[in-house]
Amino acid sequence: VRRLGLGAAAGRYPLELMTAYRRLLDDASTVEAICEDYRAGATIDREHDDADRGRRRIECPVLVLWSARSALPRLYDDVFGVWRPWAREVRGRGLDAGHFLAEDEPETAAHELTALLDRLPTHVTEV
Amino acid sequence: VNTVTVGRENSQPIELYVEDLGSGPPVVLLHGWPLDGRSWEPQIHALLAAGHRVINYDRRGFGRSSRPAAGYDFDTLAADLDTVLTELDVHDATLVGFSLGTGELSRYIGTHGTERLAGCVFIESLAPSFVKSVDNPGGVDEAGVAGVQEAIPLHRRAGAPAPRRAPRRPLRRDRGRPARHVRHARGRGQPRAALVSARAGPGNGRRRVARHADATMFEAFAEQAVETPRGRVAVRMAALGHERFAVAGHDRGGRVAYRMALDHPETVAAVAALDVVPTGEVWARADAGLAMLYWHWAFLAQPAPLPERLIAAAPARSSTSTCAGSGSAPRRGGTRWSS
Repeated sequence: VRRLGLGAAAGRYPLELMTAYRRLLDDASTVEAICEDYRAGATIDREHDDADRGRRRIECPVLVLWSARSALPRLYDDVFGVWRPWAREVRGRGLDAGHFLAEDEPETAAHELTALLDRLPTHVTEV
Repeated sequence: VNTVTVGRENSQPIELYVEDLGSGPPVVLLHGWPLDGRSWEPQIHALLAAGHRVINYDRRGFGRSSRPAAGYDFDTLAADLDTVLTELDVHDATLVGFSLGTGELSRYIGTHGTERLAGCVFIESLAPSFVKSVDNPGGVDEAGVAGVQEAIPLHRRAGAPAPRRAPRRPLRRDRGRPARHVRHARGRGQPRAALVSARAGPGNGRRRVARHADATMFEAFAEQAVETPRGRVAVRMAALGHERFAVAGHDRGGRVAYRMALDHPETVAAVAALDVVPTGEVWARADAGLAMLYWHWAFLAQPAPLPERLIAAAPARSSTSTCAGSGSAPRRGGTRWSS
C-alpha cells in the first residue's frame, strides 16, 4: 500500500485507514475491478477521448491539480499544457505531495476546491 | 440499532443513537466533547441500581450517531434533545450535562422551557461563558479555544468509518441555512459554540462546501466513480435533487469527472481532476518512458484473467500494491514485478 504513496504524509493516515486500503488490495474482486478499469482505459475511454480531441471541449471551469513529485511531471514537460486544449477555462498547478493529493495535502486541496466553487453562482435554499 | 431521527440532510436522515434503559424517574445524560454516551457507563449502572430510567444518547457528529455537515449550533443541539425527549415521551426528567452537554442543556431550558424537567445538573459547565474574559477569569483562553476548533475535523475523521463503508456522497453544493451559529458563538452570556465555529468556514457564510476538509470524501467519490458509469452518476445526482453540480475526482474519479463535463455539459458546473491527464492524451503520447513508468497501464489492461491470476499468485502482498498502479512513479527506475 505504501508503494502507491499511501501513508506518505505523516499524521494524515490513521492506522485504521491504512488497514482498510490494505484490505481492498488483498480482495480479489477489487483487483479484478482495478484491471477492468485499466482495460477500459486502454479501449473505450481512449476511443471517447480520441473522438473528442480537437472537436469538443469542456465548457465549465476546470481545476487540475497534480503531484509535483510523481509521474506526471516526469512524463510531460508541461502538464498544464496537456490539459489546456481540453477546456475553455482551465486552472491548475502541481502540489508538493504524493499521488494521493487530497490525503497528503487536505487543506490545500480543500482551499483549491473552495476557490473553484466560489466562482459558481450561489444557490441557497432555505430548508 | 436504536435511533431517533432528528432531521434530514439532503437525501439522508440524521439519526441519533439512543439508549433507553430501566424504569423509574428518568435521567437524561448529555455527554461531553469529544466523548460519546459510553463515557457515562459507570454512572448508568449506579442510576439503574438506584431505580431510574436512564436515557443516554450520542450527540450528532459523535459516537454512533450520524455525522451531518451542519447543525452543531446550540439551537439545533437543543432541538435534537427536545426531539429525543418527545419521541421517547419523557416527562419529569432530570437532565445531566457534562461540559459540552451543559451547552445544549442550558439552551434547551432557555428555548424549550422546563415543562418536561424535574431538575438539571451542570457538571463542568460551559455556561455562562466558555471563553476567558474579565468577568469569566476561569474560562478557556484563545489558544485553548483554537485548539478545540482545530481538533474538531480531526475528531470527525478519526471517528468516521473506514472508506469502504463510508457514505458514498459526491462533492456537491450545500443548500443549508446561512451560518446562524456564528452569531450565537458571539452572543454574550451564551454558552460558547466553540464546536461550531470551526465548521463555519470562511466567506460570508452563505455558501459552504459540504465537508470540504474531509479527505475521505475524495476517496469515497473515486470509489463510487469506479463502480458507477458516469452517466449514472448524473442520473443519481438528479434523483437527489441536484440538477447542476460540481464534480471533483482523484485518479479514476478525475477521469470520470472530466468525461462527465464533456458528456453532460448541462449538468456539470465545474470540474476538479486530481493527478491525471486525459486518458486519450496518455495513449497518444505514449513512448518508451511511459512504457517504463506507467507499465501497469498495459499490464493491467491485458485480457482477463492474466493480470488477476498473476497478482493472486504473487508471493508477496507488496507486489499487489505495486501492480495496482496508482500512476505514481516508483522511487527508482526499473521496477520489477515482484518486489
